Amino acid sequence: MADYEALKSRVQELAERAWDAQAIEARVKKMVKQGIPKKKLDPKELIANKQQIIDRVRRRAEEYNFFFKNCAQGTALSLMEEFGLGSMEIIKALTPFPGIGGTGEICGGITGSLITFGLYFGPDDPPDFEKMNSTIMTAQKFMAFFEGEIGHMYCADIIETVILGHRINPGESEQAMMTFTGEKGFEKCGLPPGIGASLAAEFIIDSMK
Amino acid sequence: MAQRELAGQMVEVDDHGFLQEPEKWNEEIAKAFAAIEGVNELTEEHWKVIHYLRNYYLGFNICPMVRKLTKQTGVGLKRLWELFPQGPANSACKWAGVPKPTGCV
Repeated sequence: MADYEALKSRVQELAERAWDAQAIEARVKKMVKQGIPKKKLDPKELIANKQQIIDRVRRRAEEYNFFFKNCAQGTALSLMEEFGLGSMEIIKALTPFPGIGGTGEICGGITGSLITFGLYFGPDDPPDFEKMNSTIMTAQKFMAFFEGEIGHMYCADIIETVILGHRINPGESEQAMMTFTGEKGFEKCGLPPGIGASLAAEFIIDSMK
Repeated sequence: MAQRELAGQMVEVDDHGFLQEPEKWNEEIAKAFAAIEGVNELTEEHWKVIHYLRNYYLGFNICPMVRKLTKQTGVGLKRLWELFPQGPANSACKWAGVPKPTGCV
C-alpha cells in the first residue's frame, strides 16, 4: 500500500526545490553533443555502491524531468547515463511518451524505465524468446513494484491522487496546461520519474548478483 | 518430454516444468507446484487466480493477458507478484496446469 502522506511531502519538496537549471542543462547538452558515455559495468562495484547509485539516479531523473518537462525522457536519461546505455536518439524517440501521448495513460516513469530494461536485458541476437520473456517478466515485476510505491500506474490517477490532488489532463488544452504549470505540476511530476528510475536501477543492480 | 511426479502421479512437463497434459490437473497438483516454490498454503486469492486462468485456457486455448487477469479477478499486479513468486506467467499459469504462455503476453 502506497504511503500517500510520505509521497505528498516528497512532492512538496520537489515543488519547493531550488533547481540548478544551468548545471542540469549543461549536463544534458553535453550528452546531446557527445552522446551518452559508454561504460564497462563492474557488478562488484555496482553492488557495493548500490544505494549511492539509486540515490543519484533518483535525483537525476527528477532533474532531467524538470529540464525536459517530460517524465519518460527524464526517467530514461538518468538510467541510460548511469549504466552507459543507448543514445540520445532514444531520448528523442521518447518525446511523445509521457502518460502515453498525453492521454493520461501509463506514466513515463514506467515507460522510461522499460525502454532501459529493453536495452539492458533484451536480446542482442533476436529472436531469443527466452530472453524476451524474461525481460517482459522483469518489466511486469517492476510495474508491480512501481504501483506498490505510488499506488497507480496511470498518469491521470497519479496526478489526481499524489501530484496535484485533483484530476487534470495538462495536454487537453492551453488552459489545462497553464493550470498544471501554475500549480508547479512539472516540478512535482519529478516524483514518478525519481521513483521509477530508482526502482529500475535497483532491478538492474540486483540482477547482477 | 520429461516426466515428473506431482501429488502422487506421473505427469508430462516441458523444460520449464509446465504441465503438458492439462486434463491431468487437479488442486493437489496446484498445491504441489506451489510447495516447490515455497508456498505451502493456497489462499482464496490464489484459487481465484488459478481457476480464472484455468477456465480461460480451457475456453480459449490461450492464457489471458495480465491486464485481463487483473481486471477480471480484481487482484492487482503487485498482489499477483506477492501471491505467485515467479509472477503470473511463470508461477500462476504453472500452478493452474496450463502451458507456459508464449510471446508477449
